[in-house]
Amino acid sequence: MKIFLALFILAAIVLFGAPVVKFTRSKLGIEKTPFYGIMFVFIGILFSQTGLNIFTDDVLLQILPIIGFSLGWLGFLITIDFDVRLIKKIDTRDIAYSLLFSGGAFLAVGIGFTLIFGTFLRGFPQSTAWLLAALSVATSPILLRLMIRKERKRSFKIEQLSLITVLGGILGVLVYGIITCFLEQHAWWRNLGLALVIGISSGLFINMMVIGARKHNEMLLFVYGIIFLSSGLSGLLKISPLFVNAITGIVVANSSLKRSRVAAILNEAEQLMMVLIYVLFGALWSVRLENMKQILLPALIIGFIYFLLRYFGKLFGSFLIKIFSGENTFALAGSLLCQTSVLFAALIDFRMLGASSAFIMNRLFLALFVSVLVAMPAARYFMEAYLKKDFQRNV
Amino acid sequence: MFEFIGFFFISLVGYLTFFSARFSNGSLVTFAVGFLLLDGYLLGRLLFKIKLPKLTGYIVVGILFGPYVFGFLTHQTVEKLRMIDDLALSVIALSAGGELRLNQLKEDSKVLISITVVQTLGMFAIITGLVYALAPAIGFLKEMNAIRILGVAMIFGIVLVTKSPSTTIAMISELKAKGKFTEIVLGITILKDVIVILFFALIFFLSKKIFLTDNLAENNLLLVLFTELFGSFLAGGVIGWLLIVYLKRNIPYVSLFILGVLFFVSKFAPLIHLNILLIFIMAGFIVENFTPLGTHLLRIVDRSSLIIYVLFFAVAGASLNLIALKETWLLALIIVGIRLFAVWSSTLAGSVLAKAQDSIRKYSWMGFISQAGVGLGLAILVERTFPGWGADFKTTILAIIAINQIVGPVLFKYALIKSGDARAIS
Repeated sequence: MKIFLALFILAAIVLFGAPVVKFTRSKLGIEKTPFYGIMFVFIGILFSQTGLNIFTDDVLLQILPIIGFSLGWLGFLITIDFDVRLIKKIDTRDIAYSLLFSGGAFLAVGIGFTLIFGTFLRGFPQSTAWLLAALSVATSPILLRLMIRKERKRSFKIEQLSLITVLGGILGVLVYGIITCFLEQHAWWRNLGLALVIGISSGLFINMMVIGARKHNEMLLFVYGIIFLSSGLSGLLKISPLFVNAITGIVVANSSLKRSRVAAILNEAEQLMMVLIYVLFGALWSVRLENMKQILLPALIIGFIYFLLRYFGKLFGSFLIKIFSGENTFALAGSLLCQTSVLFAALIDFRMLGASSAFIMNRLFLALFVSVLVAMPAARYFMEAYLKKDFQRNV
Repeated sequence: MFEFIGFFFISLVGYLTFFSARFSNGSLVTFAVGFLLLDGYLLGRLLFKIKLPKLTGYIVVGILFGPYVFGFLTHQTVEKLRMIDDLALSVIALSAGGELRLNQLKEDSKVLISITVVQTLGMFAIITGLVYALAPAIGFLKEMNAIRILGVAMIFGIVLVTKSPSTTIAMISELKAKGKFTEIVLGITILKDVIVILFFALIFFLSKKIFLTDNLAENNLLLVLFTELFGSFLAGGVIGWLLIVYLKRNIPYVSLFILGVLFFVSKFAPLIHLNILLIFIMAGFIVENFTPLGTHLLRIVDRSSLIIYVLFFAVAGASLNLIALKETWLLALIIVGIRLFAVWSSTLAGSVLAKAQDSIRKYSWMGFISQAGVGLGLAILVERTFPGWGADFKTTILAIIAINQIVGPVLFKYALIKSGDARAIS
């Protein structure tokens, strides 16, 4: 019975959540704050084991096909634009910036938490530090989209920021996927190899199938069918469906004749899937209220340090850019602090892989949620500074 | 060629995966959804090339890889996949309602009523009579007295009167059939669905009087069914109005909204004893006939219906009980033969009475052969209510449904092509 209730709730949130959240935001006078999606996380928490206990472990097991599919879908969507032919046309400077900002964050968070977990917070294994490092790479375009939605003209800076954000998202998924393969040290080559084999063969299979697919519903069947198939297979083999489908996306982006149609199919479900990912992120919380005290403090510390290290890493990237090219990119670096869907999806994915204990996962969920809440206004502040001249009055 | 390669490739991946997975967990179900979607559709396309319905391909994939033949899917996995059933029925019913046009129904009312009534009563009488006559040869009826045999024969009669509206609608959708023949078959299918529910209640009531001496709440049965019918129509009206409001506003992601409503209602309606098929037929009917938005609605539903059809029929195929077929194949085959005769003769009589056009007289009976969910649901109800012979009854009905569900779509495709209504035949 609980499973039906859980499915009802998911359907109701997806159907009516957006207008309700919009109404609430307008009533609270916070419609311009960049926390639109975050509301859905709170709704998820309300129904989680921490709240009304609807999303029990048993229910989560039963809705695993929905979770697996949504993760696979996101991985595919993120990399479907990763066309090497288009990348070649991009200014190499922008690619270098993206790599430096991402690399800086990765190293700062990885090294920083290795030290912290080795000295202060000893309950965490060292591998968690590198998981956090991998998660720090991803950037979210949602804040930028929100900020520039009323802009009629796209300036160079907006284009540059969009591009670096998108590249950050792609890099984030790929680095996360590779790191999850390496977390299982004795079988990293097996995990990586399997992810590549499944991802590449799924991509080639889609390419072959969509050649003969003339109608929209046939395309939909092939694309969704392969996401279900590869996500299920990944789950059985304990590898990340997010990563596997990201590989599929790269293969399709670079070799399919109908790449844009596949991308359109994926884009159709964007609102639904994003809401689902946000809600699931909240719903997966399994902290009992009586244990909250023990979790809250370390989670807050980790979350805040994660934010600072990530910012520091990006500043380090800016510093290197300043040395080599003389360009001041400190505001640009700060604009890249926003993290939402990819981070949430990666955490859901990691929890589904079952590679870490509930002790660690509960703390990570809270810590990274805190970091997202802190990062959003910070990123907005830097973005406004970076795009100051481009913004019109209504921003 | 690519269908064949694809089918082979997915089957191989399925073989390697299903037999390596140690238990049926959520990831296996996720994999099974993808497997059935891809393999079902590819086999459907392969069979289409040899003039068989695609739908048969979806069902055959379910049968082949289900628990009874190659055993890729376990009973447990199939049971989990059956969560799609209600959603699929909702999509199918909404499409059906959207295809019903009031002015057309008025125009054809004589034919519709004549065939529906004559077919329902004729099939019931012929099947009941012949099962009664064959009783000495049917194992579980041998020991019963005449009145009890009549009771069971009547239940056989009413359960075998049912047909699968979902198969009819899916075939019409697959062949993009349009025309008078299609309208009439669809109209009868829906009308019959309503009549069968009422008729079954009556027969069930009588059978309980015959078999069960203890006072069950049967007096409430008619009231409950009355409420179910009218409640469903009322709910359908409300949902139809909701859909109109949403469609008029031209809000983005309308297809997701409709799918969400379908899912929501399909899970909620059975809890308050409402009939999903009737609700969505009514909703589709209202949108089609009281606004100009019907075509828009059908186009939206059609965009995602293929996935739902393939999965629904593949799961239906995997659920077909082949053990039952093996155990009772001779009896099942005889009853299938009787039913075929009953459908043909009663439909012919109804169409002659109404002076229906030639194609209806000749081919419409082929649209009423397939059986699935409704028949199965009634058989399960019978098994639960009559523990003594109910299990044997259900086994026989399952075997009959298995045959009808394979033969039915093939015959209906032939009928749609012969009537000239099928457009997507190549």
